[in-house]
Amino acid sequence: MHWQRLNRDDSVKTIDSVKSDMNAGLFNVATSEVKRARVPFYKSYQVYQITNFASLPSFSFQYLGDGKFFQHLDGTESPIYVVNDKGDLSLSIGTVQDYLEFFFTNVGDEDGDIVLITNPKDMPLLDSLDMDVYQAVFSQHKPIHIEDKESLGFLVEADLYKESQLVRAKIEISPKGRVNIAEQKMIIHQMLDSSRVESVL
Amino acid sequence: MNSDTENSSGYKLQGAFGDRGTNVNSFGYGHPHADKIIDQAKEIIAESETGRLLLVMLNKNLVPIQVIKGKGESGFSPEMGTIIMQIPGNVDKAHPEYVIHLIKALHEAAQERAGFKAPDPKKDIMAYASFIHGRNLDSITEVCKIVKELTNSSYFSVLLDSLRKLGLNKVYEAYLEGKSRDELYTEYAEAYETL
Repeated sequence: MHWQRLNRDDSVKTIDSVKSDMNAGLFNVATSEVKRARVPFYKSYQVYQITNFASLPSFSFQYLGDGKFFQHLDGTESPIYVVNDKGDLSLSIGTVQDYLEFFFTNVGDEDGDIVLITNPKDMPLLDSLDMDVYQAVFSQHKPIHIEDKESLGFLVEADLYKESQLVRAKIEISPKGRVNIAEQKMIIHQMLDSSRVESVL
Repeated sequence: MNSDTENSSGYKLQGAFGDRGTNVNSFGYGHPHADKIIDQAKEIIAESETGRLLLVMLNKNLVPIQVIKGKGESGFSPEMGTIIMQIPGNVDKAHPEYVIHLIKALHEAAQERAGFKAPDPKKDIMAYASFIHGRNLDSITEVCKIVKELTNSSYFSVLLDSLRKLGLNKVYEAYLEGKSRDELYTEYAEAYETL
């Protein structure tokens, strides 16, 4: 994402819009930076990030906002769906992959994060794998495939890293941006225990 | 998640008792399963002798914890004197990485309470950075110590996996080999650059 740092006045306005009395210390204007980035799948909403540099780690909070209304990206799908339901979502064959990456980056799964693998080099824990597993990750990888289902939305076939496993998944994305993993098949499991590698493709 | 115009109870103060209508957003940052997640994390940490010592601060309410919905960083905020944990709103159990974050934050809080406070970054940024990284390493070393003490527990393998996910497995290996602080720092620096 291409981040743009906000000037002081806009930063103060943004922080005023999202701060909570309960967490006032986290939203200290003096020690915080506000930046925003456009995303290709929203018409007017942008991603905002407030980072408080008063400590290490620096605490960051992300929002979807249009300058006035903000939705805190709280790790669930709800804030994304709220913005989608305002009619701001613009999904096309050219933007659906960016949307899916954004979705999985910002929505946690009950059993851990899901990572969309567009390039196997970006797969988590790659460096800790034994050579045979490492090579299998690359040889089994298939590029993301997107099918336009017109009024039904999009069907995406892609590799996901999920619960320490590499899976090939069919993901349905409705016109309103609802994401559903319809099917998944293990490509390589037990990534973390490389002595028990099993390739199923 | 609240809508743009309502708070969690669906009622919003306006006028003299509210925000005069200028703030149209209202956020409930608090995590719905905070108590359950922290209790589970404490249960795991308490299986370690070193962990039990750290938990005294929590059990005596000497350091508050705020669990916030989100996927951002967790840690101890010296400015607020509070441990901040960020956990996605749909998670209702203590994943091992949250346990590791909590151990690290508890150690940082203990250091702060013991009087090891960071110098003012506005006065000397290099001294500040050096202090913060040194403390970070000490806290990660404390994590390694507790994970090692949990070797025979049922949580050990998932904690080890999480150290890998967090890029700290080489620091842990160096710790197990009894390497010096300088050598641990080298591994820490490499992990920090990767992250």
